[in-house]
Amino acid sequence: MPNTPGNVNAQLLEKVNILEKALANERQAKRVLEDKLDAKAQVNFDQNKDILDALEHANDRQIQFQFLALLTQDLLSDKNIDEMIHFFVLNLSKLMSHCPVFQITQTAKKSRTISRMNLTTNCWTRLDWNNQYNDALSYMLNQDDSLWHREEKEGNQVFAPLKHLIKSNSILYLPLHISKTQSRLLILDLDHYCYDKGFKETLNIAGQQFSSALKKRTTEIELSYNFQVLQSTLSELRSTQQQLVHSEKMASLGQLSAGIAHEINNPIGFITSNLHVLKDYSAIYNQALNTYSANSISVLKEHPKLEKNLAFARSDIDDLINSCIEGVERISEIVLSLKAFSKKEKDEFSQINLNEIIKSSLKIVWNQLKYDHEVIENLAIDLPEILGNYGQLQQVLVNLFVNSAQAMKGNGQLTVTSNVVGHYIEVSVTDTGCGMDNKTIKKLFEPFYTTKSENEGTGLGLSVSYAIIEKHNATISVNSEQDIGSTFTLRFPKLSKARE
Amino acid sequence: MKGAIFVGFSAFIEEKYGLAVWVTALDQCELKSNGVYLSTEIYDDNEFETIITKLATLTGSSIESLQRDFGQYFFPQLMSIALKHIEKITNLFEFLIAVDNVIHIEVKKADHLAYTPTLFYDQPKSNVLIMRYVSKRKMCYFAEGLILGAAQHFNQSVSVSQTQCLCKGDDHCLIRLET
Repeated sequence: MPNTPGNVNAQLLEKVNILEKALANERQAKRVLEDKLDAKAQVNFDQNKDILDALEHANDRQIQFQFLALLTQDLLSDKNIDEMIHFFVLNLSKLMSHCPVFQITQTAKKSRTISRMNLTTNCWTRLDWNNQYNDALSYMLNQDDSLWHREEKEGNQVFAPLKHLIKSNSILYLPLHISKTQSRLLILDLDHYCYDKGFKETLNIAGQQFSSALKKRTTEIELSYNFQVLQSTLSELRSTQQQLVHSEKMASLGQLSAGIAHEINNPIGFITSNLHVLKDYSAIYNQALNTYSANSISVLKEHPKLEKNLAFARSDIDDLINSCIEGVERISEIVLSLKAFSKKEKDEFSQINLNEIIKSSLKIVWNQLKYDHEVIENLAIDLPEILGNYGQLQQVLVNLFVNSAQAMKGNGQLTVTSNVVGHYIEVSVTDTGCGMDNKTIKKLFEPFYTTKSENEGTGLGLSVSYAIIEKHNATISVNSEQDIGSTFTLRFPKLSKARE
Repeated sequence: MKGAIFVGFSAFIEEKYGLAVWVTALDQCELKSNGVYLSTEIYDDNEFETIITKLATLTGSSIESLQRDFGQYFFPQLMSIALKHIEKITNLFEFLIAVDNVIHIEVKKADHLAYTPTLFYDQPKSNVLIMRYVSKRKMCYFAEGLILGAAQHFNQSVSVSQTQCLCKGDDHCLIRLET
């Protein structure tokens, strides 16, 4: 074939066709080869797939567990609710590309606060609450507790008021109803929530774990508070029980005293009367004997022993009768005191001034104090009046002053103070006497307990005072140190303004 | 990068711009592989970037549009591969959620240590899918093309927007799809 241009073109076209066919064949062959290689690779892959999947799964799990372990470590430590939330949010924010986090707190009284975690300082910044947030808050708090919920702000009217607060379109929030009175809401301002299933599962587990830990901690706090209340109630009960036992004891002793006083009173009456008659009779006998003696008719001279005994009896009889009368008078006083201790007299209370009672009581015992003791009166000016029984309180103060005088052998100082302390009026009686030991202080207000000698005290003075003070809704307390002195403090409730 | 992408890309360029453009591009790039690619092998990522940059110059198209068009072109092939691993795909979102696993298997079976791009999903509403694409290869426009191809395949209209993009210096691409 001649090499004309037409022939050359035809030859070239034929070559191109042949080359294209060859290329197509080569491509086909390559595809076949690739398919074979791919099939082999697939077989290899399938053989190792389980191991590779398991490895990948294990890696994912490891990351999840590391995160959960980190959280658990924080949750187990001894943190309060706010600290727990703080650390949870810090970890969470790190995990979620340092996204902004908001916290809303709602209490039972519908008080709501909102704060934002400052990612530079890692501190919460309090923001102004806007009532326009209320609908969004109610909506979010009504979703399932302890689970993360995902919302898009755009096109959602409920979230429209949050647009100035939350910059991104996506929010992820966790409602936490941690007690009957308190709910918290954590809101994450997210660029996206594109994470794998494992991650989202981990986040959900973390949310539930965190919620459980918060509830547990709240219960612990409530339990601890209740425990403290119970302890305080128990201590109050013990104290009340002791007071009751004491009051019961006093009441029993009062009844006993009343009975004894009643029984003793009658014999004492006729003994006293008889002793006085006997004294008169003794005088008559003496007069008669003196007359005999004067007329020198002394039959007794023949009986010197009898005469001696008679002379002794005559000289002693008056002393004996006087001593008996004194004894009976003493018994009468005791009976009177017992009556005062047990008497259910009418409480004739009126508005009285304690300063006046102090002054009148000091006058009564002045005789016992004036020689050896210095008396200091620190009485408050314009001391408010109290509601009380003048005579009874005078009895109490006289008793305290006499006790003080008896406690200060030789020289001493008695200080009487009246004062207003809060809602109370305090009267204190301080002496520089011998003081008391703890054993004495414990038994001080018990009837018949006395440190004085038999002739000096009956042991009823302070128990009577105690009963009187109780009737006045007041308290009596004592502070004493041996060889230093004692202070008795009476504390009366102030008259209420309505009564004033 | 898996050789199948190079092979598919050569077919796309040959079909759209002619074999000569492809061969010229390969000639003008100094490639370690000399432009010889087997679908089953793994090749250096930089080779694709070098070739597509050269092709953008030769064709006058942008890299983005080349990637996007190639994505659309490549979809049927990816779909056929996907069907080998997943029995039934009925809509766009199902396909997109499954595709991560498909890519993963296809790359790993060539080399189980090979790097795979990662896709994370979030579906806040039934008609919205947000895809987070994390890859050192920055092939997000190729992904967009695949999405458009898939939408065409499933006969669904979809709006595609990127709120964040690796090519613009972000840490990842956020591709928002709304049907």
